[in-house]
Amino acid sequence: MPEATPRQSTLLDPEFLRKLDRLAIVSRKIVTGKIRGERRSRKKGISVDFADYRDYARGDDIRFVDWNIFGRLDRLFLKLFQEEEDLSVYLLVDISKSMGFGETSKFDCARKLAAALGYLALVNYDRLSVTSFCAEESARLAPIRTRNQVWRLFGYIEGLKCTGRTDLPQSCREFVIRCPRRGIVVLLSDFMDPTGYEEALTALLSRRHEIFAVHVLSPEETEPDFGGHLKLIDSETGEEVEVTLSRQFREVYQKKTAAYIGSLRDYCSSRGIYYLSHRTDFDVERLVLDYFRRVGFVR
Amino acid sequence: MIQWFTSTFLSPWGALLGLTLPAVILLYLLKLKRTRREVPSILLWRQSLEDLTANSPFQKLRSSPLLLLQLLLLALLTLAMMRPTLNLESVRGLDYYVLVDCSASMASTDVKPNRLANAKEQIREQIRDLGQGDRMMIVSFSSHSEVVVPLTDDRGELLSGLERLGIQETGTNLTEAIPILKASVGEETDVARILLYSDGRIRESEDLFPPSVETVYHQVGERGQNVGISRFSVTASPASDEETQVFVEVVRDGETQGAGSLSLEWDGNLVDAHRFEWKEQQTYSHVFRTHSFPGGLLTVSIDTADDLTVDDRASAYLKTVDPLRVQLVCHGDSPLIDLLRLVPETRLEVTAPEAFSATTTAEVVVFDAWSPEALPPGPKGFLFLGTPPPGIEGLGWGEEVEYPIVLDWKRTHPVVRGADYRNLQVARAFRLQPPDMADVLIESRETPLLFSLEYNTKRLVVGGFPLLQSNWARLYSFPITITNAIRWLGARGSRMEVAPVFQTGAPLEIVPEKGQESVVVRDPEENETRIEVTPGQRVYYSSTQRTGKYELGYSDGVQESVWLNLLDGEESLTAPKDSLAFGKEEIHATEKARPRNQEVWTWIALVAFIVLMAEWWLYTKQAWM
Repeated sequence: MPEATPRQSTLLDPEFLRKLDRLAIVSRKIVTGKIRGERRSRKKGISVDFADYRDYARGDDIRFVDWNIFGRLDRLFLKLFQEEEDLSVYLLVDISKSMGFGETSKFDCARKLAAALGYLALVNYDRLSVTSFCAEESARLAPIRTRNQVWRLFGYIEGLKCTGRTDLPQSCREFVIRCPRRGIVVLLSDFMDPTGYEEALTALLSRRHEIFAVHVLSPEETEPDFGGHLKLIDSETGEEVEVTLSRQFREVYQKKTAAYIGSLRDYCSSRGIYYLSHRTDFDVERLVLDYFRRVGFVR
Repeated sequence: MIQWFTSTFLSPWGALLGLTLPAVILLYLLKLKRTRREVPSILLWRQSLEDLTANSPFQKLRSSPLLLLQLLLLALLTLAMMRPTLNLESVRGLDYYVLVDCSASMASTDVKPNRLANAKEQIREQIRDLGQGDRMMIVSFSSHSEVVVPLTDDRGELLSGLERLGIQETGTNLTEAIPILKASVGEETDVARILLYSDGRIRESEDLFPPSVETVYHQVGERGQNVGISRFSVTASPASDEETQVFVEVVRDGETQGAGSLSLEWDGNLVDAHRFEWKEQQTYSHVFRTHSFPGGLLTVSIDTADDLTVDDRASAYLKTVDPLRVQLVCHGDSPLIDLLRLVPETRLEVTAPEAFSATTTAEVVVFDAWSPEALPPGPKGFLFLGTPPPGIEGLGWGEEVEYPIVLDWKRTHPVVRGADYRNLQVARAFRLQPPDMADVLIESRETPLLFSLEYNTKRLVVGGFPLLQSNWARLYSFPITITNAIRWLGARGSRMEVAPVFQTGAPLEIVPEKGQESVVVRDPEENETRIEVTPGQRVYYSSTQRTGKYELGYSDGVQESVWLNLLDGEESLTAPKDSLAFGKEEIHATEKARPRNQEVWTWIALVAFIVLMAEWWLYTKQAWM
């Protein structure tokens, strides 16, 4: 295994990276890769792992006929082997301005998470593609494989900046057009889009991706620590709303936030999308090593 | 402008509610100072706000017409609270003639603060309730009557005139008011109403208010609980010149019980006190007997807690004793000259008979062996020695008798008291026949030698022998008798009033003397009135409505003080009367508690304003888009 950490990353510390070396992203669906990889495919093909027998049919490659069986049963059976394919992992990182909030900003949290998952993908020879998106722009790190692309990955992620508005549907539509190949899509966003998240997730589902929706939230959003007579300004649109943050109003807001999270979770679970809510005050390392393993996203 | 304002609006203070108009505008101008805060997204905030707004019982006041309506509402409320009236000239209403009792009894405190203030409050209500075209005239009465405000519909003038009314510490006399009313009402008796505000303590009058005019008697006062001094006099004792007697009569209202005490003070020093018990009687009299005082203020007061204080005290300034002016008319030398010079408190003038004038200013004239043709009118007393007084009916003056022997003398008479006439020897005396009213003071066997007589308000002492025809001038009895006679004749005796008592309401008589051109009267409230006078011509000062000390300062520097007292038994009986008798007519008091609707809408308006304020407060507490 080539040396993976010759340089120090500001995103993840080496100890965490070493722990990640032992893990791999698990796809619950068998996905199709273009080249043979380390992923066992549902398709039967050429590999060292025996899978099954079937009757010989005209035109089959006689190199795969099991002659021992023919000797015993006088029938021609063809040996079938498990074909191994590579896995496409797509990381979609929301870089809208709303992600830049929080004592530990949601954006930093999302970048760390993206770096960790990207690293996992690369060390397992998965095909990794990172797309950063907002309404104004959508950039993409071209698919990379192998461990020696880790620094390219880290460099790309470190170079991301919070800018622009959120337009999830548009960004996801563009993504599915660019990346038609099925794979695992990890969508890292705060889902704060006035136009809604449903259209965006539907677009991703249309390509039969295995989708992980990671909802990044800051505690300041769920439990605002300010009060009084306020003029709230939307960081993305500049729109203003005047509120008097009384106890009653705070309760209403917290219920609304919980309801919003709940509706997103329900929407995801009803459509086979893995949903994960992550607060920025929760450690990314623990999330990946404990929580992701427990839910079976990595092993 | 102010007058128009006060006459158009019954409650001008209601205009203060107009201050709320700018307050409402201010509420609309006020914006909350909000802290700007950037948040990731207002998506959830806006949804929360919409949820809250949907569930809130209040709604944002968005439209400015609402503001206009609120302002209009408040403006109308303000106007209503000022109770505006329309002054329509063409409407003819009623003419109210208000008679207000301002006498001393109206100062009773049985209704707080006093009866007059209570009456004024009732009249104030009456003024406010005046309808369109109604007019009112206010007449006050006490010892005198006065038109305070002539017939007018100007409420401001009526109210300010009413404020000028004050207590007059005098008795009550309605007789002056009745002609005023009759003249004012004239023929328009159908629209005239007489409103009498009094406690009913009015001297009954035979005359009645204008006939066929509806008269309403508003009784003021609730009870009669008072003790007052109704009579007071200070005189010298008839028994002794050295004694003064002070007579006091006290009256009480029927409800007053228990004991009382009278105290006599001289210049603030307690001289005597007397305690008495009320039994069945309504009046109580007492005479203080005390020694004479050389001037100063003598005061009698009752120690009692009652509703009226002005009658709890009576005072009088004691007269200072002027030297008695004595004139001696004699031929040349007379032993009387030296003697009369020695008589205390006298000022002697010696005149020859040919120089004597009937217009003498002396108080006592002594005629020694010479008589005028008629008694001069001025002097109070005359002493004739050895000469007959002229013009005395019934007096017999006969021939001379020799050596009359003194038999007796009237030891109790003030003139001969203390003297002994046993050694009196007379060589020749005239045979006297005294008039029937005369008191023979020294009697001899042949003829009375000395007699006294009170004749046509004059006093005379007549001696029937010439001084030079006796040894009297060398006896002790001579100076004693002459001195006694001068005092008796000078009316410094028993019937003399040593302290004149004055009452409020009666004019003060001022008799200027020679050299006095003006007098300044200072009343108890320190108000000064200057009166130009001519010596000898009496003038009267009539502003005597207050009890207390009045100082008269004459232009020649002479100062005089008098004390005015209420001393009116009718005023001291303060129990309000339920009816008044005017001749055969009787007027009954109206119901004491006149039912009237209490206005509450002003409070409702106040509550409305508080609700408005609360609404704004809630608005600021809640969040609104």
